[in-house]
Amino acid sequence: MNLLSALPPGWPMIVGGVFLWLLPKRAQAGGALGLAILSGLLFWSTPVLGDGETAKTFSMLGAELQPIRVDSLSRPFGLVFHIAAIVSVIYALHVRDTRQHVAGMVYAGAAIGACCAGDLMTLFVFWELTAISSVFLVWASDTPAAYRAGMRYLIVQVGSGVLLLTGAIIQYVETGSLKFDLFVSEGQTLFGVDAISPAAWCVLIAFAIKCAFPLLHNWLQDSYPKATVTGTVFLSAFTTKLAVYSLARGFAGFDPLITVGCIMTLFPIIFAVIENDLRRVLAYSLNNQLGFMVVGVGIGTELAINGTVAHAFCHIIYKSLLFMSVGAVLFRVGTAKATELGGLHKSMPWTTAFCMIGAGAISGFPLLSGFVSKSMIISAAGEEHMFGVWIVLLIASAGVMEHSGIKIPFFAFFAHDSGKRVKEAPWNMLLAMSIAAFSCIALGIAYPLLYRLLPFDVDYHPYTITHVVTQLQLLMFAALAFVALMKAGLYPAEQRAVNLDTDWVYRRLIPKATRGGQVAIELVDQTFRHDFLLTLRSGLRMVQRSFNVNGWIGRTWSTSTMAFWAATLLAISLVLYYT
Amino acid sequence: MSHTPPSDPSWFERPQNIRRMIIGLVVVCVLLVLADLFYENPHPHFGKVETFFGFQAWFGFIAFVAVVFLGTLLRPLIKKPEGYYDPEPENEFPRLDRPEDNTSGEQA
Repeated sequence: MNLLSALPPGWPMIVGGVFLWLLPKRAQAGGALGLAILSGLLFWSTPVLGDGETAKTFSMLGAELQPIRVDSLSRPFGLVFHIAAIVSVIYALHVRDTRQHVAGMVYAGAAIGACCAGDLMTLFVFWELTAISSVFLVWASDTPAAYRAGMRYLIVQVGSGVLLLTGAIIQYVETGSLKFDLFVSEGQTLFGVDAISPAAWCVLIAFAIKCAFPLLHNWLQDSYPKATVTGTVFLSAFTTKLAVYSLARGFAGFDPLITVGCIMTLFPIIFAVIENDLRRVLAYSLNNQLGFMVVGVGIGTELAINGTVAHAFCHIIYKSLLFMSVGAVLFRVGTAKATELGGLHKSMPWTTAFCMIGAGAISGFPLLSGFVSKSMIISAAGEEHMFGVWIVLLIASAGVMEHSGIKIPFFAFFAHDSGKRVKEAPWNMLLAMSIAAFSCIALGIAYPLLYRLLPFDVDYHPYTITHVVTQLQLLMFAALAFVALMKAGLYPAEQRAVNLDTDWVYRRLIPKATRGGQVAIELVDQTFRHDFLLTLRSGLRMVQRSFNVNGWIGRTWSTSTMAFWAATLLAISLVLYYT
Repeated sequence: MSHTPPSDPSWFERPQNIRRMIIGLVVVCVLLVLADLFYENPHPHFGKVETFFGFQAWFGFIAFVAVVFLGTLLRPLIKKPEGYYDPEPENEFPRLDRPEDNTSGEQA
């Protein structure tokens, strides 16, 4: 038991996942489920560090490492990661692809290990492991587009890890400690912003990339929709929420995050309106939800951090529910494009119902999970009298209602009948969706259970008359606006198209802009090579000419010539030594 | 499988039911606004705005319309044909996920 307790949480999934290929193909999914449940049980029984307690320290190569830090902040993330892993594995029970099962397990285990890392080096190792394992879920689609998207994803993710490592090294050199704690210190400011060290900046940018901050976000919308049906469900749960956890651990109360988070809640909703690929709509929606959490981290009060953790917890479940329902459509129909879908509620009634529960939860309808968590963050902004932030979050809430609450279920399952008649999703997908849907309802009603997990003691009551009425006003009038726009023909019709985003910069602009440079380099390079080869060739020809039978070196000389030159040399040396 | 017109309209597709749902929505909205008359926000953070009659109702409506409107403005700027990045049409269906028996969803 001592050995077991020295291993980082999530290890059964990482170690067991690597050996999943030993099982016959049919048993791999079941094996993965067993590993996830085992890991979950072990995690549940891991003792939680109280206030002031520190995690066990291990010395390795002179550095102090704390690979296991299960405290009130990391525990909720570890728990919900386990729930997500179990649900995702059930959703993937029909898959007979070793790569995906191994990748999914290692990925989930690494994410859990990362959120329980007490030092930056452990965090870095798991951080990169999540990147390297998860890319196989994109590649497993086996299309050229997915291969290229996976490559871009990998470059971005590994880049983030390298920045994290850089930060860790700088911090170690400067302070001699690798401990992963709050980087923001009270009181010190630089240009009105909390001052943080260069090491902290590196770490912050690493987190920012993984958390899909504005302009660093596009890896998410690029890769997630190209992953496999089941792979996207895994992907949606871990990477970005690990980044949210890391921000909450390292940068709680760092003011600029409030602004960044506000931008993050706003711009994706506009892109989501006109996006045709429903999985991409969900990726934008995911980005918008992260914005709420980043705002919470930036505000940094106890209520805000609690709100962030609660929102991440609920979000992982309802977001994977939405990805699962759209994935089930993709699985049965063969496409997730809004233009090709519609009327599926007739043939996939259960999937429709689960999708609508997820849509209600993300929109924040009372009695569903989003309501009890998002309102904490909005209230935290209110408590701090941040009027602008509060207004932005309200706009963003209406936006969530637009793209996730209405657009996803409406265009996939209702709207105009596409005439497609398919089978209902397989039993395992329905089971996974029903677990997630049940959790959305349970968290919305039995919210004290969720609040008990949060890092700070909560005195927050979501179900006040004011809250319920105002939230319902916002949502129902947003729905009314949708009806009005549809009736007036002003709602933008879905169109088959690709919408550009920042990925255009590195997929089009930079390759095009550098083409001139490439041509120039090629020209110079070619000329040099050509000239060099010419010189080399003429040199070789000269050597060849000199050394062949008739060449001046190679040919046979008469002995008299040799005697003459020997005499000359002797004469010269005599003259030289005589003086 | 063929693209059949909805010859088998479900409950949700019958025009009279759609009208009923819309009327229901309008009634709910009216009731929600009227509900503002019957309670008082005990701790408004932004007094004037939050306690304004039906604030979140009209704010939600306007925000929704604004988001959709901005989307329509954005579309011409960023819209490109589907094969813009990847010359071959993206075969988005992951082959390995599909068990043999799942053929009824094949597009006609």
